[in-house]
Amino acid sequence: MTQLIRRAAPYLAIVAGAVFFYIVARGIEFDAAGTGRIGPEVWPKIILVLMITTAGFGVARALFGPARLEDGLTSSIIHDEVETRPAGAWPQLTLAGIALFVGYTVLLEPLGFIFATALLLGLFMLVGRYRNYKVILATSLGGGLLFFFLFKKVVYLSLPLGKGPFLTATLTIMKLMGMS
Amino acid sequence: MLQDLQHLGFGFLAVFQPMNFAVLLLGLVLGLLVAVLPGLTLVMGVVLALPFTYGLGVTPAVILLTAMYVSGTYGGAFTAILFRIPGEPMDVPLLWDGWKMAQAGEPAKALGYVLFAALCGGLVSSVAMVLLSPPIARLALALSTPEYFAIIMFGLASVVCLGGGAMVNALLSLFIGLFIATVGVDATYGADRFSFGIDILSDGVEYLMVMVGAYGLGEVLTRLHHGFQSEKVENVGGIRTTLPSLKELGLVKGAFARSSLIGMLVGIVPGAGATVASFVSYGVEGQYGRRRDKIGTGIPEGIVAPQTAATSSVGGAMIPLMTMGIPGSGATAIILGAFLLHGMQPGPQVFLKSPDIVYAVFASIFVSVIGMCVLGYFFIKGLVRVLDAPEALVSAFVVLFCFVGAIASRNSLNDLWVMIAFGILGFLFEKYRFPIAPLVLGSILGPIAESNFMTTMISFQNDWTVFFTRPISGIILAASVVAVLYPSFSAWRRRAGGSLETTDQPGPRAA
Repeated sequence: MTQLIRRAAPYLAIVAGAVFFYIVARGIEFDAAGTGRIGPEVWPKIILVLMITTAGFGVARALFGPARLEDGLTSSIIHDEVETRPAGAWPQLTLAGIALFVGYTVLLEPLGFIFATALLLGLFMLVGRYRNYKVILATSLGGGLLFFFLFKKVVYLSLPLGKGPFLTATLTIMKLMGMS
Repeated sequence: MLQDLQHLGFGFLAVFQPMNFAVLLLGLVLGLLVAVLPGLTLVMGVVLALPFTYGLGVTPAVILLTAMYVSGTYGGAFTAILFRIPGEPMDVPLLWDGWKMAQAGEPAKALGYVLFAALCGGLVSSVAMVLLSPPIARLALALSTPEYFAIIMFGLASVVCLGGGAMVNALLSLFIGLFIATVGVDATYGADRFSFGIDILSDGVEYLMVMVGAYGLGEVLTRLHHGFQSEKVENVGGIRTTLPSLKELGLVKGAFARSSLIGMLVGIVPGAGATVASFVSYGVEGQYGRRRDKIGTGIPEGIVAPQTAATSSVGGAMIPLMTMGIPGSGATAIILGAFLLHGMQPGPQVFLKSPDIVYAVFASIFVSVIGMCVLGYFFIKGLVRVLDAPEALVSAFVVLFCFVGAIASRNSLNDLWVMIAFGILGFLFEKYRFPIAPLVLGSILGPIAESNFMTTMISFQNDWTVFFTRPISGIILAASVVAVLYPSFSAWRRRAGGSLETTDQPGPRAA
């Protein structure tokens, strides 16, 4: 039973989400309302109805159908030929990775690009089970500096410089790199 | 015809301008690298490069991405033949004869056949692309919004039918992509939809965030979930390419011809890219080739067929993109994104009013095909060495490129949150076997589909039957329905004990 619910869970989530958005779509207002022309809510409603129907079918198949749904043509050819994903799963690594992405986004402005990026690169390699600490240190520090120079000076991107002492440090580094 | 050749000549002149040539070379190198590197796919590489084309003009931007696309169809062959590691799904058929030939002591010869296959396929399809595109563009000018809507629907249906994952999941992925494209202010009435007063959503969901997040971060999270277990390679030192003789090439000329045609035709079909072309061509060679009884035992035909078709599909995929604005493959969907980023909607109008851009891109494909073969021949050892790079290190920099690409888009840190959300969604999609390609294509083509739909409905006073009563749109929509239902019908027939589909099921034959 748990297995069946687990199989149906993604489809149930999609049905719930689509129903919610369909209700929201009914409240969309537009200027030409009452003129007989179709409104901006029609297209999303069509998609949501199709989504609900298809996901509903998915729920039914998950609960009452075969264990494996038929594949698209490409998968049906490739699937058994090559093991596309290695065995083993480390969900904690995935969560750590997501936490790193969130942390990087939060710290990007206060720390500035160079320091936040060095931190991201180093920690990500550690999370990715790489343990050559010298390489980690060199590539994270070097990567932060190199790509700051590359993106700022060559590609002309506007990158966060940091705040407080990090801003001071970044400006010093920029001066050493010959950037104004 | 003469005018088209004249345009092509100017296109070659444009390609050899310093900036365009430099980005072409850069694109070739990057394409070869992403095809070889573990943790990077061809489409992912093109997606990551896309934001960095902001500062370029539309021509060098498209040349860069197209060069990556072209060389990416070739680079993965090295590792497939030498180490039994397919760089891309399209390289899987090379395991059956290429790896076998390498095991028999002729890896250099196998690489030589791959080089000629890529060269032949690329050049033949480029010629076909130049010849076929102008008449198709002129035909497309005669089409109206109902037909364009139908063509887009057919393109999306093809992606669903031909792509990976279960059909139900592929359809849901597509619908989610189409729905995401409706968030924000609608183009027809300016009404706010599904933003809930949140600034990030009011401007709409940038499809670049969907692409970079789902393809880039999503793939990294998936690989991280599996602990970054990429295989080590050995014996890089003796690697080289030996070109086959003219006589040897003559013996496989049939395979060259068949596979070039197959690759080009498959490439034209939206959603059917190099992977499908490679498998179909190998299957056809195994069914109809002169030495079909020996396919899978390490013969040249088994190398030539998939590689020729894979590279040939590039030219085919560019035809619907440039003439109608419908991407023929995942990578061309990203190239479409490059056009849109620079404010251009490829299609018959651009084809006929800005031929300088179009033919520069065409010319760049010719040069890319030759350039990639030259680079592959001389630098194969260096390229293969990158396989030794630890996957965690490569992925860390992929993540960095994803973030910087997202910042480059609208210079807004808010976009990073959207990208992370789609990265998580991409991971969940992979985990629950929902294909990502329909999601991305839906988010790119959704606004165009809606625009054509709304214009038609307003023009024809809400008469939705017009999509089916107009002959061209009716036929194309019917084909779309068939495309979506075909895999399910095929599966039902198999379950009912009907005859096996002759879908070019590839695989090594017993010696």
